[in-house]
Amino acid sequence: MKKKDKQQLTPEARDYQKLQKKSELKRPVFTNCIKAFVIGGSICLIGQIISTIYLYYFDFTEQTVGNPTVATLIILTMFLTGFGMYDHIAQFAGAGTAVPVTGFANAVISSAIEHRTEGFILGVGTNMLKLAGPVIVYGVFSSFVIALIKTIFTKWLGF
Amino acid sequence: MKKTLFLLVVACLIAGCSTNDKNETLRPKGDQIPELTRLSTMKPIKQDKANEAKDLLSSYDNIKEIHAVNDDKQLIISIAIDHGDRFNLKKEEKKLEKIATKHFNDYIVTLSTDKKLEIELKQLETDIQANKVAKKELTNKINVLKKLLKEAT
Repeated sequence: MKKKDKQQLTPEARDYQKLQKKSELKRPVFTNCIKAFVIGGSICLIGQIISTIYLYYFDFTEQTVGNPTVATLIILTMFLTGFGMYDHIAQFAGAGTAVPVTGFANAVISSAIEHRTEGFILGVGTNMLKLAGPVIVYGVFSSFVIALIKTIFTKWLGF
Repeated sequence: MKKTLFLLVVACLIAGCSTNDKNETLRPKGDQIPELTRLSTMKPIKQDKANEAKDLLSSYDNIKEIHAVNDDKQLIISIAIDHGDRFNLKKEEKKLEKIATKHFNDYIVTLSTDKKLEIELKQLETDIQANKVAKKELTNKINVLKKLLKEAT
């Protein structure tokens, strides 16, 4: 609660707030950060290994290797989500599994699995991107803003 | 407190990501010697231009590794830049390509920092040293590599 809102409370309400704070479970923010860092980093390491394999054994350059790497990670996530293993990893790592592309894949695939009983069009088709939709919308919007800023700085202001 | 911390983090990020002074990005050679392989200058596949390019570019000390191969008309160079200087990768690549193009004006020069080119040229250099590559094969290989570098997706 904000300081301003706290000042408007009655003394009883303030006492209750104090009492509630005592019994409230503290969020292990630091531990969560460490877990997210380790698991998120491990996902990135796996991605790097996959892209290095593509670089060495296939005709991909550093410029083009990103696409097959992302596709492979999405396929791997698809299997992990389907077999119910990704949920356990996500529960442990939190943002570490949500931020990389695997989190996005998990959001799409788990929605598709969840709504498959409602049919392929109205079930899977309609609900598949319900969770991932905002990621696409704000992803596209923020890239537009960044591109605009970059254009202003590089093309117009000459930095 | 939170605002101060946020500003501090942003300031650190900006300071960390900022590029060095333009003139400092390509420094003259220090103690570090880049990894390079000298190739045969004997016929049929004379590699003297490739060796010359390696000598020319090794005078810049933010270069870790140089690989180069040439045929009669084309010269293809791969460079590996120090990890810390990878923030300015494109800039460095452009500068070095300009230097190489200016120096070898009678050749079609292709210079890249791409890892794939490094792997392929390393292999090609080994094959040339072992006399496993014919002249025509070398030209074909260079053309394939140039085509590969142009791919964007």
